Amino acid sequence: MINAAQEVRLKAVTKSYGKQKKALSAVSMMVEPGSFTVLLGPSGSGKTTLLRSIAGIERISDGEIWIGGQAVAKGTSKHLPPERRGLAMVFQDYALWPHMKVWENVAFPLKRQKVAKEPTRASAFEMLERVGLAQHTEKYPNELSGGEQQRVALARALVASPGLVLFDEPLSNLDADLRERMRIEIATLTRESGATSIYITHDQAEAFALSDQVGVLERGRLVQFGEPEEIYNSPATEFVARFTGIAGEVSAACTDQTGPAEIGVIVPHGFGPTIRARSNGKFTAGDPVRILLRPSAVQICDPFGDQAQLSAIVRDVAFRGRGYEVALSLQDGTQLNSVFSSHRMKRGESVGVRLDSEGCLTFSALGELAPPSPMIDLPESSERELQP
Amino acid sequence: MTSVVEQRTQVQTELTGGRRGDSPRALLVALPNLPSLLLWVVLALLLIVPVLAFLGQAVIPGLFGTSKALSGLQSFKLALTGPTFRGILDSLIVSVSSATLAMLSALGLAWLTQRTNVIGKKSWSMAVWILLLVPTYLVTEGWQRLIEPHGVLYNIGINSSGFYHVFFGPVGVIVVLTTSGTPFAYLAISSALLGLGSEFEDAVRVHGGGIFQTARVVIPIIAPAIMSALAIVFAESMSDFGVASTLAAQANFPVATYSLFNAIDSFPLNFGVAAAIGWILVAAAAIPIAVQSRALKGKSYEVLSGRTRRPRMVALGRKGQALALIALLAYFGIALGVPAIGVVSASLLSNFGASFTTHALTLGNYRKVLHSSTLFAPLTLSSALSFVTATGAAILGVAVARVMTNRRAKAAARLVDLVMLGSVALPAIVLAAGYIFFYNLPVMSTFGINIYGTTKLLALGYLAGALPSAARLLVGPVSQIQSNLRDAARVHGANGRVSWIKAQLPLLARPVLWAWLLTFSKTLLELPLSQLLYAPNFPPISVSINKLTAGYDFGGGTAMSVLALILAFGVILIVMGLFKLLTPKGWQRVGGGYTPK
Repeated sequence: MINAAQEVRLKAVTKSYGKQKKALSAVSMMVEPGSFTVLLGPSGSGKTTLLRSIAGIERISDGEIWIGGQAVAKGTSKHLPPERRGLAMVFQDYALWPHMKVWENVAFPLKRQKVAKEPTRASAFEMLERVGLAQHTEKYPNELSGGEQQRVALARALVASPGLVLFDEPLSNLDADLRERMRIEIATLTRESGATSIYITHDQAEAFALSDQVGVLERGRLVQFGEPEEIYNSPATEFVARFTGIAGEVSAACTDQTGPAEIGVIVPHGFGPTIRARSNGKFTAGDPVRILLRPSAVQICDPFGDQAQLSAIVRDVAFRGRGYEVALSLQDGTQLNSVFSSHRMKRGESVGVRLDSEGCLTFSALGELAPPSPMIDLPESSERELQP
Repeated sequence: MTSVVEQRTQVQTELTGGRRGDSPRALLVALPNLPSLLLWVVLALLLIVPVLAFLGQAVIPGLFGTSKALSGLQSFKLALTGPTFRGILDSLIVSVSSATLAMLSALGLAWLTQRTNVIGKKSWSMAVWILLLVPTYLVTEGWQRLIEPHGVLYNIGINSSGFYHVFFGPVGVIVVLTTSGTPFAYLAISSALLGLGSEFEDAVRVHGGGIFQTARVVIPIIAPAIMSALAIVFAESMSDFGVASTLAAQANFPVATYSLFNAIDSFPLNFGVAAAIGWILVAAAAIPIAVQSRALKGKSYEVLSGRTRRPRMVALGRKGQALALIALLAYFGIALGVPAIGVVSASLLSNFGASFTTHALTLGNYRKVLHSSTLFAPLTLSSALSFVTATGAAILGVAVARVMTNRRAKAAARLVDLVMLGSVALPAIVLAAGYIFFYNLPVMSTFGINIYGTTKLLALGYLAGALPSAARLLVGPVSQIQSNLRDAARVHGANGRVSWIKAQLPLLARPVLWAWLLTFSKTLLELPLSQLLYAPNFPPISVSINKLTAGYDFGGGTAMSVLALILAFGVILIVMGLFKLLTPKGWQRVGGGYTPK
């Protein structure tokens, strides 16, 4: 039986440990059925707590969690246990039962659904074949490599065709090459299953590669939720911009605001009168600002050519296969990292720098207040409550 | 007491959340539920109340309506004068000596078996385990039968009287306590050596250090294990009653545990002085154990380095092998060989114990024990009691270990931890005295608890004595089970009960089996509780052996000792065999346990 993909709604979900520590602070979001949502954040941002709260492993302190139109948690008054939420999960450390053979691990969810013995075995074997482990069915988890163990965990999560699959940083224990291969397997197999997926990670590249939607968490608050392109191109806060990857930052002053999303700035030691940059705030001429530069916005050019807006010295060069990653030092000592160059440069060489306005993100130099979590209204008609 | 050693490996898990908020529901959840309330009642009746009631006699004379012959802290004054004070001093001296010697022996043994290619590694490790199971009074009996005047050596024409006079005194007490304490020290140190990896040694060597510099670097790293070894052997030696009631008593070398026994076994009973000695014994054992327990909080040798490599083995040359084998044979010869020869040979001699008669080799002593209903009954009684105790201790041990590792009830976990730690430091003789005092109080009859003088009291005493060790043995494995395994089961459709049975219980099967086996074999041959709590006409094995020996039936006593040991090791082999045959293969692969390496 294939379960329908579930919609997941969170309304002001709060989780506190005692009076002092708030792990989640009024997190609201809506995950479309069948979509792949990644929750991105550094350690301590609350992403694991949020995922475990959706799974029912943690009890929330306040707010509501809805899965497939059913309230599974409402404050402290209602808490549906994990086994009654109809979901599956891939754990960071795999959580494979060491006393069960590989196929028995995978068959577990089907056994709990009281599926007959033979179909259970057949489904487990078929799922293991799909993840490339047909020859390891009779082994025990500790006889497999880390990547193979993660495949078993994936097979276990998908075997019963759940409507919702949760992923708790499943690639964090794997090495770089294996991560990439497993990422592709997770993306294809999960999308083939049709299930709604919620995936947490601290790796922005992984998040952008996998997701239909990304939610960025900072200190228990959901600071931005949207498509990966939107998060990257228009980060809501300086934290989001930094966490999703920058080459460096320069201090500047606003000269004019030509539109709601574009301002002109003047950079110390710059050659030109102004540099155009993206902005999602309101600035007036003379306001001190910080320009966060995406790596793609920094282009190396001839230091004496017309295009050069800044001058810099090459500090380091690293060969990356498709080209070179260059570290630059601007005249005022500002460091810019991960700048692409198609050819090898010499350390100490003087170069010109041109900034592409699409990757120049402007934020106030006076600091900012993070916006509140985006709230959503739940349609009352679609709600159906389950008694715990 | 293995438990304190096991504590060293206990992974200190950090709180990762899951605590409830301060809502009324959360407060309700925080209150003890019915099973934990029951557990506390059991712990109170088994351990806390009897022991505190007894020890209270030294501080508040007349507590529970007992005689007020002594006032205030007079009991302590009496305990700290005359022969009792001498006994306490003697106990301290022999305990310090045996702890030091056992630690050094264990260090050598552990290095040879864990870090060299010495021949017969498995056998030596097995010998340590056998040593762990053999009670001190049987070791003493073996030595005694062999070297005493008119003993086995005398009968084959060897005059051992000179050695007898040296051995029957502090020297013998220290030798027996050292050899019987070595397994505890060995368990602590060998795990530390095994988990140490070879990086630290490699780092010294590549930076120009030689063997001595390597030792200077490595020994401080395993210092906590060495301190553990010293603490546990000291506590074991202070608490020992087996040597105290046999070798030491006969050699007129008073030690504290025997002084306590005398205070409540001879008329007039003096619970005040006995309790004062009890306090001193508990303090002497508890202080080092508490210090090492505190020092070890959060430390685990296995996680010193996340990428610990398996230690490199030192390849011993021919000369090294020969020296190592001579040392090991000499050590186990003294620890096991001599006592075994003494007991077995005495059991095979006719009329042994009777002077001025001829002796011949015979199996008559065994026939007598097996065919006499009076002598056979203790074997069946002790087997039944050990079975009940081991099963009870294993079940309660898991329950207690779960409370101790419960991340959501931190206060309860700490309290149970404290009770268990205190109980580990509690000498069995003090527990037995507590039982005699508490369950004989008139108020117990008022509550309808009339078990004084019955085998039920002995069974309860056994359970109380075994529970702390079993719980401590299990707390490591219980805490090491990742909570994610259960979470995974729940997320994939199993309810709370099923998830525990399917995902966690199988991982505990082997540790529970080992806890059961250790409790069974220790209880089968237990002495101090048996000596003080056995029901008249229903003596367990150890009491019968002592009675036979006291009646100069050395042949009968030693034959019963041999049969009891065969019974203990036979049960271990049979139960292990059944476990292998009957449980799923997956269960046998996990759960660690205490298989001799």
